[in-house]
Amino acid sequence: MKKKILFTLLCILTTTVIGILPVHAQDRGGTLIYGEYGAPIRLVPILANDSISIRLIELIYGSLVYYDPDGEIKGDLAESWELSQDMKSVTFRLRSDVMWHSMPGENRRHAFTADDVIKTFQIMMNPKTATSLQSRYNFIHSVRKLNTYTVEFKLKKPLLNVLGKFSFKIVPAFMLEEYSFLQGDEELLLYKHPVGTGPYVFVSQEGSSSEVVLQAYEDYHHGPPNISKIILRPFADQNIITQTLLYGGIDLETRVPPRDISEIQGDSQFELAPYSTLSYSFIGYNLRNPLLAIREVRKAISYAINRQEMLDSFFEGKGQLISGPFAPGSWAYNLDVEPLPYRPETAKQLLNQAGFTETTKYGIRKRGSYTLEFKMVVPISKENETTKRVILAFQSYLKTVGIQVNIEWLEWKAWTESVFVEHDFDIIYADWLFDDSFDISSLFHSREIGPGRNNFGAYRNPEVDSLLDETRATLDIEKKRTIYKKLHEVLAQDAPYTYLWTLTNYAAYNRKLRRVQIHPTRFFTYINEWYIPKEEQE
Amino acid sequence: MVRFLKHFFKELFGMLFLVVGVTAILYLIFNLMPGEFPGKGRGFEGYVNLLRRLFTFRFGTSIVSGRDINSIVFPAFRNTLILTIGSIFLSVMISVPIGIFSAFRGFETYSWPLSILTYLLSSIPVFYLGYLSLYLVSRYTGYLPIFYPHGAERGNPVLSYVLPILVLGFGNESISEIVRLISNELRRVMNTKYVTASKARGEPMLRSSFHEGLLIPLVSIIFSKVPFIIGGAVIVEYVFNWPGMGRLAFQSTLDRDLPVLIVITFLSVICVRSGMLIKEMLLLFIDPERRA
Repeated sequence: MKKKILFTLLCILTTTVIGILPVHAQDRGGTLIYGEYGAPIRLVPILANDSISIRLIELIYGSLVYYDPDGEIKGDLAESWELSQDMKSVTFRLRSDVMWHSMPGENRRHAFTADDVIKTFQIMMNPKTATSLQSRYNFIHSVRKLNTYTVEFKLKKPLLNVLGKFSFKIVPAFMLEEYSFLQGDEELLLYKHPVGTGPYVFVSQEGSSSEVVLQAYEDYHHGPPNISKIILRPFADQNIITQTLLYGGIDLETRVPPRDISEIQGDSQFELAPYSTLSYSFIGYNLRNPLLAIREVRKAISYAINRQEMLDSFFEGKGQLISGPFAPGSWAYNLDVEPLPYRPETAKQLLNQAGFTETTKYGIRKRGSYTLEFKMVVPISKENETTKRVILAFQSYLKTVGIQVNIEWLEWKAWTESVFVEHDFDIIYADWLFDDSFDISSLFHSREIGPGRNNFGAYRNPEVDSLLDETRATLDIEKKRTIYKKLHEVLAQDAPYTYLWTLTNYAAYNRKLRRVQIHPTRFFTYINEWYIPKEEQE
Repeated sequence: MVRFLKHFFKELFGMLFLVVGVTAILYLIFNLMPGEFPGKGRGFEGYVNLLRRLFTFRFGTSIVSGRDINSIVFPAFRNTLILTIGSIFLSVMISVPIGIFSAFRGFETYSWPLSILTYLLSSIPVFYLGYLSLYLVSRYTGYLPIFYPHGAERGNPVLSYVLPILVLGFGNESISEIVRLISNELRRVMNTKYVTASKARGEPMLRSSFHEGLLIPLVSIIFSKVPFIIGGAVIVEYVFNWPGMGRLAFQSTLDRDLPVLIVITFLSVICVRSGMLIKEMLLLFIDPERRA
């Protein structure tokens, strides 16, 4: 008996030892080609806000700190940090051995210093800079350079989990000397040739296809990465990405379309890796429309649509229905609130209650001169098959309870303008993507109503406002959780959105890639660990 | 020779006129559209500036990605050119023998299945043919790759050209047209008196009717097909993820990247008109009636 235990113990021991063995030197090398649906738009961290660019930037640029796979904060460019007693200032001690990638046509490399951090922060927070990051960092009051390798951030007020917020990417100050803000139309070398401190060096971007080639950075401060070359290959058509993967044209697909999942599952050469981004889809309403300001109407819409059926048939059930304004993966999500069921009868009752009892000759409900007819705007660049299906299903569900939805397809820029600036819409179908803070005050606080603000639907509820203010003020995580649960309940009851679902994303990769670990939003954070065994590199 | 030059400059002048007209209309439309491009809203002066930049081939930068338009457009142009020329060549190689064959044989035992086949090929929509061949050839047999990234030392890049060219060559709807035109023209010419006369002298029929019956219709149809083939290439580029002009135009339209769109339109106009120019010149060279 004792022997057996010893034996198992030995087994466990050896397996752990094997598990943490360093990569053999000969396993360095190889090329990773990954496919994306669309091309990266901006390769500058401050301006980028599409997920393709963000994934690529993760490879090229570094940040002060990052979350490791276990959710702990680790230093990247920062060596150590210190939070002051009153929690109102953070001091970062920077690594002194970090060099920027070399600029094109130049051999000399610049050292990374505190000036870069300060320049990044100043550009990011300049009101003229075209970035979406400012609202995330306006809790910082100022930044100060203590010496070449030390910076101090002063905060406006103490904040919970403040360190995790310092994961923004640092841009090189020496390439931005004359600039105090960035709008994206400057003649700037950094736009064409990103220079960062990350594990991979930008080599080239091919003109017509926008393919990006990256080379391993030999002097990377955490040691050179194992895979020596990474190529981003953009695709214009979603249908062909999985085929290319299966055929061997690419090694990794960052986001597998739901209907291709079963095909990859059946192939032993490929691995499917689920990762959940902290995001959810919703139907949003413009409460400036007097009809949508009536809660019964919004609730009726929520009852009238069969979300489970949509999820099952359009996304192969790869996701989860939600009941409130948080992503279910987060600690703020209130599991006690049930998602609204599909009950068209209840929807009709609610509409009757709200007084919409007459119908027009087309079967649309009305009350006096008010007809339940709404304009839904949808961005064209989202016009892939599934979005289209969801919207058409939504339209037909509502038709059965007597609500008419007219769909208007808009080009992306026009869509953001009409939703966020002009507020010329009634209904939208969209997603929110969260970072790790789950601060929803920018979505529902009445202070955030106005052009360019996130509360596009002009939702106003004093109770929600005061709860949101309370979460900002409190530092106690348990108390915060209680308030968030309450908020969840109130916002589920009041239905400023119809909360739909959160999808599980799947990445698919060729099994020749080893030790693959994926960050939920930034994807390539742990790329340094990945490797391709020598015999499979060819 | 003088006639030749005169014609050339006449065509060139027409081309210039067309380019100016097209860009003027574009400038007008883009001024009415939301979105930004250099010179917008500055009236005539803006337009002249635009023309100057276009004709000196200094296209500026894309407003979406901030990259140099020259380095985006010219590789795309090259890729589309490869696709277009390859597919025209393929179409001609297939359709001309069939055309000659059916001109000699008429609509009978051997030639009619061939003609029907060409009609069938031409009536398959190119996107359908594209996906079909992708699934059959690339996915299940793996003989021919889909376009490879340029930076990877993997696979044979030349092989990846084969499939798109095959699909566009078969699917650009010109095979049946060339076959029909050639068989009709050739038969008409073969029934003329001068061919009968040369036949009586013992010369081969094909040689005496070669010019009028084959070369002239072929040249005119090939070059008049250029715009349609560029249009068909959009779909093939999309299906095969081929980094060409069509895909670029589509993407820029979605992104509302007006500077890039202007350049693409400009280059397409030049390309189509150059096709016409070459056709006129060739016909002048070939056609004895015009040469006189």
